[in-house]
Amino acid sequence: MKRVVITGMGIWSCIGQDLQTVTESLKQGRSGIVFDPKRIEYGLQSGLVGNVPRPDLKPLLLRKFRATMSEDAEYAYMAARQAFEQAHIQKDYLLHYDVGVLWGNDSGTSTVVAAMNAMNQHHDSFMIGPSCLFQGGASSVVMNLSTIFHLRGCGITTAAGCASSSHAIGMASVLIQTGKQDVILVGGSSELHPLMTATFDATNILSLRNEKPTHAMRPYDAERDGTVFSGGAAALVLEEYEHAVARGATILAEVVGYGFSSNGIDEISMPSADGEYIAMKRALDDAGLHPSDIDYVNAHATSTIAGDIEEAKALTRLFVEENKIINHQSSIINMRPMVSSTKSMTGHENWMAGASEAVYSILMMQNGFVAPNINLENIIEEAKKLNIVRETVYAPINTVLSNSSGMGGTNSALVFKKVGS
Amino acid sequence: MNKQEIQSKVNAFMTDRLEYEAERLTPEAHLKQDLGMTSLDVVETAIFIKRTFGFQPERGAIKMIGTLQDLYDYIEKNS
Repeated sequence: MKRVVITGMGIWSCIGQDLQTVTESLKQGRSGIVFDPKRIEYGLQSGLVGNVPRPDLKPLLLRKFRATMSEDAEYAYMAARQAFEQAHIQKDYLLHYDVGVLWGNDSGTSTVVAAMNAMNQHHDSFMIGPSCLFQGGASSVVMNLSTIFHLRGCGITTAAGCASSSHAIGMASVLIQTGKQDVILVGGSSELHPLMTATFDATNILSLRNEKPTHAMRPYDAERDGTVFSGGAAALVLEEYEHAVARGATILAEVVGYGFSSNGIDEISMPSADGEYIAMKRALDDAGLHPSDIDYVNAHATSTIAGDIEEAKALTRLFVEENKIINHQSSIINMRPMVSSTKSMTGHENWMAGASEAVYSILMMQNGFVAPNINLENIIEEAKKLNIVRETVYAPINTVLSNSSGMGGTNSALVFKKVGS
Repeated sequence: MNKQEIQSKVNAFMTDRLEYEAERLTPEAHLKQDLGMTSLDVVETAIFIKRTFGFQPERGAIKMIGTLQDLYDYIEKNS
C-alpha cells in the first residue's frame, strides 16, 4: 500500500481565515461564537452562530465562476486556494496532471429558498434563473472547485452528516493508497443559512445561552445545554508520499489510519458509544497503533446532552480501559492521551468539521501544543477518567486521532502522524 | 422604448450584471466570440429582457443572435 501525506492546508472558519490566525486562536482558546439577533427575529430559539465572514470573491474570480457558487462553495474556494498555495500546486501543474477532489458536504438550504421565493413570486420556473441548478445540492462544491481549478481526477462528494469530510479524507486516502490517484484535494464546507440551522433548532439540540455566546459551547460540561452551529470550509492536499518527495513538497503530516462504522441502532437521532468505539478502534488497527501511541485525541464532542456522554464512554473504553500496558517493572500503567474538543471554540462546523478538525490537529502537531477544551467547569461523570485539557498544553504532539460522528449514526475516525516521528 | 433607451439598458445590464468590459460593447461585437457570453449568460439575458422589456424570448432565440446590434434590433422588434 502506498503512503498518504498532507502537503497543503487551508481554512476559512470563525476562529480565523488563515492558518496563522487559526493557530493563535487555538493557542489562546479564543471562541468564534456570537449572538445574531436576526436569527431570533427569523424565529429560531437559538441566536448563536459562528462568526464567519463571507469572502469577497470579485477581485479573485471571474463572474462566470462566481455565478454558480453557493455560500459553501465560496468558503470552499478560499480554503482550497490556500491549500494549493501551501502545497505549491499552481495552475500549470493542475493543467498537466490529474488532480482529484473528494469533498464532504451535505444539505444546504439557501439555494432552495432562493428558488422557492422566485416560484412563489412569479409562478414561472423561467424566473429562477440559470444558477440555482449549480448552486444547490451537496455536489455543488465539487462541481465548482473542479471547474475553477481545472481538476480532472475523481470528483466525488461524501454526504454523511457531520462526519462528511472526515469520510472524505478517509476515502481519498484509500484511493491514493491503492494507486488510483496521486493527488486529491479533500475538505469540507458548510453554509450558515438560518433555515438550515432552524431544522436543527426544531429538534431542541441548539444551545439557548443567547446572553453568553462564548460560553455556550461547553463540551463535557455538566451545564451544557446544546450545540452552536458554525460553518466555513477546510481543505487539505492529500498526496502519495513518493510523489510528494519527488515534487520537493513539504510534508505536513501523514494519514496513517482511517476507521468507520455505522451505529445500526433503531433510533435515527441517537449517537452510540459502541459505534464510535468501533470506528476509532478500526482507525488504530489500520494505523497499526496501540491506544497508548496516541498523543492527542481531537474529540467530536458537540456539547449536546447525549452526544458527549456516548463519545466519552467510547473514549474511556478505548483510551483508558483498553489502554493499560505493563512497564519494565511489571506495573500496569495507563498512558492516557490528551483530549479536547476544538468545537468548544469553533462551534459545530457541521459538514466541514472532520476536515477542519484535521487542520486544527495538524496545526497543533506542527506547533507543539494542544488546544484547550474551553468552558469545561464541571466535568460529566462519564468523562472523568479522560485526560481532558482545559488550558493550552505545550508538548510535542506526534500522533493524533480525530473522531467524527454524523447524525443518523455514521462514524469516522482518522489517525495522523508526524512524518519522521 | 426608443433605440437609445434599449441600447442604454442592455449595455448597463452587460456591464453591471454580466461584468463585460464597457469598452468592448460596440454594436458589431459578437456576443459569444467577442464578449464571451456563456450559456448561463444567455439565460440571464433572457430573464433581463422579460423583466425590462416585458416579453419572454422564445427558447433558443438569444443563442441565435450574433452581434450586440442584432440584440438591440431583436428587442426593438419584439417589445
